[in-house]
Amino acid sequence: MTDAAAMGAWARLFQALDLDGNALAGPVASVTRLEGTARQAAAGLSFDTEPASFVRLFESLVREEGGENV
Amino acid sequence: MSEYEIAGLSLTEVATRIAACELSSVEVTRACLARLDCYGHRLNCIAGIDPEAALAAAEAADAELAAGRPRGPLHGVPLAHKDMFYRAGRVSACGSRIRADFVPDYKATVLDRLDAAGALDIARLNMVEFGFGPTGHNEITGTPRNPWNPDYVTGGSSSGPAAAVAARLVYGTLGSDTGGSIRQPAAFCGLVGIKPTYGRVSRYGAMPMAFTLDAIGPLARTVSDCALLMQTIAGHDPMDPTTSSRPVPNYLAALESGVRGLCIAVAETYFYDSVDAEVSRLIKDSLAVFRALGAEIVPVTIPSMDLADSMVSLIVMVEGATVHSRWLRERRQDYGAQTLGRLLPGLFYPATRYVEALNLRHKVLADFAEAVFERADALHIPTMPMPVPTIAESDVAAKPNFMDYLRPFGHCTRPFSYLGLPALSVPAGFTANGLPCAFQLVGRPFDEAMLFRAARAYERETAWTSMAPPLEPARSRAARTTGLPSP
Repeated sequence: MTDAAAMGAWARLFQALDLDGNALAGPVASVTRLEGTARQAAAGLSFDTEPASFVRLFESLVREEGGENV
Repeated sequence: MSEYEIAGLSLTEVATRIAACELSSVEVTRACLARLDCYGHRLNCIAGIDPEAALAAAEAADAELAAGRPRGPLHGVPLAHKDMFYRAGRVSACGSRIRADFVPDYKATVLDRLDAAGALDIARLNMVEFGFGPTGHNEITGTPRNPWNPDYVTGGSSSGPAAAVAARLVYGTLGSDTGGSIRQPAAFCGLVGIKPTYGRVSRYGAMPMAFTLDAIGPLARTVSDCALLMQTIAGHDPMDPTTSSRPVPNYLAALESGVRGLCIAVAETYFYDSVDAEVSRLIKDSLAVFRALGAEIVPVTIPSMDLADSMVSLIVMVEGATVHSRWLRERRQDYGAQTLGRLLPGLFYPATRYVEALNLRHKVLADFAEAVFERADALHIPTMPMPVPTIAESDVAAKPNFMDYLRPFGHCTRPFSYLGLPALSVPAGFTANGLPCAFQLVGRPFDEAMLFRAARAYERETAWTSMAPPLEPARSRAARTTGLPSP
């Protein structure tokens, strides 16, 4: 089974969507390119503090009136 | 004043003159309607307009003022917005066939705040279909044209808004920005445009694109105009729980404070990786202005920007496909080919990758803060890495590898959507094709005031934001420096 055929079968099963081979060429290329990037970059992430840690960091960067942040 | 002279005023100037009864809202609105009639269709920037209702609103504004009841700082000023902000009883088509007849029964908070400040909302402005595209092309409603040269794109997705304000058809506009959709058209059309901090402006009543990234903000002709519009729309909204309860500073109060003592970071990597040489020269010229004004310039190396760029694309596709999932099943044939090509991949990403993409933001923001905010107040980078392309050369629709062509358009804007940081695009001159070029200033969360202040200092030293497109026939390039022509 090709990647496109596998994704077509997956779309029918999980998204209730019938897509032909032409419609699947773009998604195959896009998903293949970006999902690997996310998977590799996230390999070392700890997930027990997210997403709170992003919000906390974001808030800590706000310049307080008359104060230094960093 | 002639209609041309009225249209050539900035938003701040026209608001001041209306408030002082030196101009009536009716006079100003008539001038805008005349220009919308003359140029709006030529530039394909209008999605809908009701001139009679606009004039009636202007008459009411004048009556209120005559009775000593000014509503606010935008009293009687004609604006028009991207066709994605809901107003009860009025169509909001989002540049699409699917929502061509959609009539909401409630009003966007940003429109409510502009109404309360006295602004008139005189037209709906064309946009990229559902906001999915950086060039401005729209297969469904037609492609808006750049007022500086109608053969060129406006940038997207706030394409019609940028064309309308740059062409002096209205005085200011609201757009939305998920990966650059305010900043890119602002840069390509010679306007000041800001993507505010995530949570600074309510999104209630605006068509969503990607809810963890979407931001609403103004595009205007000058820094002061942009700051005035931001002042009006910013702040907590109980109807949008993602808005911040932090107080909104007075953006206008510190505008003239200059940049002496400010430290501005210049990126040594990523943002200049693929920048056109001519654009690069103009951006470096703008940096020299900041240096001459007393800002300290420090070079920085920022890691993880490639990753931020990629993760925005992933998140936009997944969240976009989620918003559109029902229509993708039931009305797929009604999408333009490129919009469909951008949405479909979002149905296929594993949920784990999407969560990883969101959770990587902490690492990327930490890297960015260490590289930039430990040394500087703001980052200075190009808005667009290339000169404005023509409509023909950038009409890639859904051809094979169309995303490879489009990806560079958001190279310098997407990372700050991912990080939620405020980013302001400021006109920085013209490339050899006669089209505008711009730089971005990126600041700390909720530090829009500093961005406006720095941009205003630059604006004072340059003439870029006072230049008007040569829309009228037989106009010389030199005439741009004097603004609009006499009739």
